[in-house]
Amino acid sequence: MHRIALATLLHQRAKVIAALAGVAFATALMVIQVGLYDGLRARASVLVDRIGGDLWIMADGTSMVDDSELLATGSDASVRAHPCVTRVRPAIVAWLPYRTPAGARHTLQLVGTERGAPLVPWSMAEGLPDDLRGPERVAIDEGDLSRLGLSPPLVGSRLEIAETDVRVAAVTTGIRNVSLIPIVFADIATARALAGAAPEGATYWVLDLAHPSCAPSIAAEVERDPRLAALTRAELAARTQHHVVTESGAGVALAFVALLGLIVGVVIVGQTLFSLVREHHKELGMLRAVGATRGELAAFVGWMAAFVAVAGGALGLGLAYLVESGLGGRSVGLVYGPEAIVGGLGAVFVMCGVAAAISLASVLRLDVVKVLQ
Amino acid sequence: MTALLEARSIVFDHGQPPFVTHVLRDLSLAIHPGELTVLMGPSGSGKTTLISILAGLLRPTSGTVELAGERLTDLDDAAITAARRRSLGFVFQAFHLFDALSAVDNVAEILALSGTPIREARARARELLVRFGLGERLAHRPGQLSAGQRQRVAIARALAPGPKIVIADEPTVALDGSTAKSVMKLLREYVSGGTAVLLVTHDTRLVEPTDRVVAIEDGRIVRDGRTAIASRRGGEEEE
Repeated sequence: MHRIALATLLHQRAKVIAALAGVAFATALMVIQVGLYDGLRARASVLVDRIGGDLWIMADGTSMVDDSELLATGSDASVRAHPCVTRVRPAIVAWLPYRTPAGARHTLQLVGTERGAPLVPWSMAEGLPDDLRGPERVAIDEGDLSRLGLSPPLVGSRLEIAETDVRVAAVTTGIRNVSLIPIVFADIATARALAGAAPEGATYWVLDLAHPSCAPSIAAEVERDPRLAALTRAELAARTQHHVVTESGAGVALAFVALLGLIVGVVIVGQTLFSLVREHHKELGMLRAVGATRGELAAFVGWMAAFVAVAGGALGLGLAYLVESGLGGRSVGLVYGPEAIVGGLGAVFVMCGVAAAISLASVLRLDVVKVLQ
Repeated sequence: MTALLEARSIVFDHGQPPFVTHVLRDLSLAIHPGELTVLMGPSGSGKTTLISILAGLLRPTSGTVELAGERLTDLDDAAITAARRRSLGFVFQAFHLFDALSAVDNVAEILALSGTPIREARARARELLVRFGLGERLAHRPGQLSAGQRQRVAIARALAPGPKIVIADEPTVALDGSTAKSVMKLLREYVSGGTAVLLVTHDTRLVEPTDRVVAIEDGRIVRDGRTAIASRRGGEEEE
């Protein structure tokens, strides 16, 4: 039956092209939407993922990593003595005002960490993280030049952050936060000074543990202070992603566009398969009359749907990767992880499955006597 | 002689009381091997309903149908389908060929449906089409064939699986006189090989080369008799 089905399908070139285009565009749309969603989530939690650690201590009520406040001095004291804690690192994540060389005032996100592994900042375009050693030195991202009002050569440029004159010592590339506000990295000492924190202050204490299994007991100990909360890295990343996706409405918008793509795909493929089946009712009736089973007639639809799914899906994936390479992929927050591929293939399956089901109903209800009259 | 296809006391009513139409009224008919029977009757006489019931495509209101020893009226849909596949071939007025398939593949795919490997099916289809005078048209699609050639492909398709009986529903209605005659000749040849053919038509020109004429009117058989050719053949056999 597959030969009859495929020959029939390919005989109608215009319809096949329409169906393949429908599936390809819907698949590409789904992959891109899921890719954008994954990219948004990855971008939301990038600081947590990059700074690393096993357990993060933060102000109680922190809804996401960017929503931080300075912790009271000595808030790390209780955990430093814990036998399971191998390292305690301070981190500063703060929103600070800056002034461009032209005098415009805006806000940037300052990230300050200790030197050493894991390497923050990452993705260096000019200089090294070690170049931030020394007072009033910062790293900026080359994607933020216009917002910061800077132009090459960047290393050595000066910028005013929180009314303090700082010097650009390194340049990163492709680092974005969700809000697209400029992100600036500094050594912990510089960050503390710029954020107005005490010399031992931090907005987060990042703990490395001897065993991740210690995390719940340490968290419980930390949270005996009602001003503090402790979350594992994964929990803070997930909380941040959830907050960004739900609060921004981006998740709903992306899902809505993906759903629209899916509906358009179902309609196009459904219409194509349905009209092909309708046009061949008499031939299908003939097959039934000479002993084809209902299952074999269903296979006629199934093979056509399968061909459209495989060919259209492959075209769609190719189109999605073309879009990614055309737009610069990660720089626009497009990440094709397994979820995007599974999402795209799932969309193909749903599209062609629903489209085939409509035609299958027509085939299975075929009144042979009527169609052959 | 045992009948290949036998309908007994077939009644077929259509609609719900009080608006019931009696389409077939206590109709009995037996078709024997090697017999070319023509079923005639005016439009609305019940011919199409009768062949649909004989083929197991419709269930009668009452009565029984036996196809090659299997009582179709006692079988479920799957078993009737299997019985049709084993024993029945169909030729239709409108051919019902797949436009996308070549003449060979239109025949071969029916064989393949019955489990014949496609290479073997194509070889048999080619052989049959060559015998039907379509040796030069094997790779042609239906759209590239004349009406007579398409009907010959359709007949080859019906005969390829070696059915015990072929039901041909107005197979010559779209054909001119000489093409219709050649189609009838093909059917005649196959009947002589033991296959039975039930030919539904209202074309009186087709009566001559057949063995038997059954006339149906208002759901009843009003005439069932052997033709001159059958009588002649009977006489020759007796000699």
